[in-house]
Amino acid sequence: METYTATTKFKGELLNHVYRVWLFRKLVPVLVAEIVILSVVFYYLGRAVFVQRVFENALKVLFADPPQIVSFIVSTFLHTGLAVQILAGVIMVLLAFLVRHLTQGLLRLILVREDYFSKAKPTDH
Amino acid sequence: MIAVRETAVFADWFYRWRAVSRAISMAITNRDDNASRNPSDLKDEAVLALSLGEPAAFSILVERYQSPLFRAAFKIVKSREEAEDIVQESFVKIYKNADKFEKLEGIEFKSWAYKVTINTAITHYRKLKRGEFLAEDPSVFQENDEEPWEARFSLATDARAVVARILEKMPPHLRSVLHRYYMEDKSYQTIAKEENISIPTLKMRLFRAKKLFKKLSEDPNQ
Repeated sequence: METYTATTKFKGELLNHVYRVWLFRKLVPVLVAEIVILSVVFYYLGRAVFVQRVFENALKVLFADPPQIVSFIVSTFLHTGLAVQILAGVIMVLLAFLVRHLTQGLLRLILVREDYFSKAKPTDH
Repeated sequence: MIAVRETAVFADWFYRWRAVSRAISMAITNRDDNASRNPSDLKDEAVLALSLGEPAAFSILVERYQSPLFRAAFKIVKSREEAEDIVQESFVKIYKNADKFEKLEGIEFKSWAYKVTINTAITHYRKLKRGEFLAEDPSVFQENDEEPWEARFSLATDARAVVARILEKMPPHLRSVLHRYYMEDKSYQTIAKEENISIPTLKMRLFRAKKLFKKLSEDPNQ
């Protein structure tokens, strides 16, 4: 009878294919949704605040006295309107989610490339 | 001193919280503690469910089934390279349809995987226009030391021919429901829709079809 032992290449190709399925079905739609929402929120924030000027001031503070950047951010945040504060909060949350999902995607790619779960053998009972 | 005490309190609180959350997680997923630690101990169905969120875990199923699925495909296409392609395609199909499999109750992953592989192999074979080969009983491809594979395979092929002969003798409306339910694995809803009948009528028709099938198989001269 024909016996078969899969080569590492075969398994690697297969797992890469499985990863691509997972990526495009599970991760990409979430990332796209997050980026779209983030863009919308940024657009409204841009209409409410002169973002370019805020960044220019932040860079001035950063180059003049780097530790002061924290108090600058806190002060800028506290001295703005409630709507902008909410928008900034939403952006922070969305950015955190975005980073989290990108990290998850990268981590899973590493696990697939390393064939991590093949190294875990069944425990003896 | 106060900082040390606060750290100890925080650590105690953290470990309690972790124990509670782990207990809740185990209760929800209905898994034991060992299984949650080592995915290799999980059943096929659980590994498949796990791999939906963790694609690397799918390698456990590949390890378990690559060889028997390769044998199943090889017996149909008789080519090592093609069988390898079929196994790869089948595994990808299995992963793509894993969420549908979760909804099918009472079906083992093993049977489903064999079915997907055999159907993929048959499709390949038909594309190559080498004729037609049908063997849907997955047990045929299982390793068995007592009985040679060829004998079991031949038995399954013979059984299939017998079933086909009996089905030919049956009235079309009964044959059709029996074939769709047992050979094509379609649900009651799908068959009822295709046959344009209600589910109670379908059940009654299936009952009559099974009865007639049994009768014909016991007495082939009828």
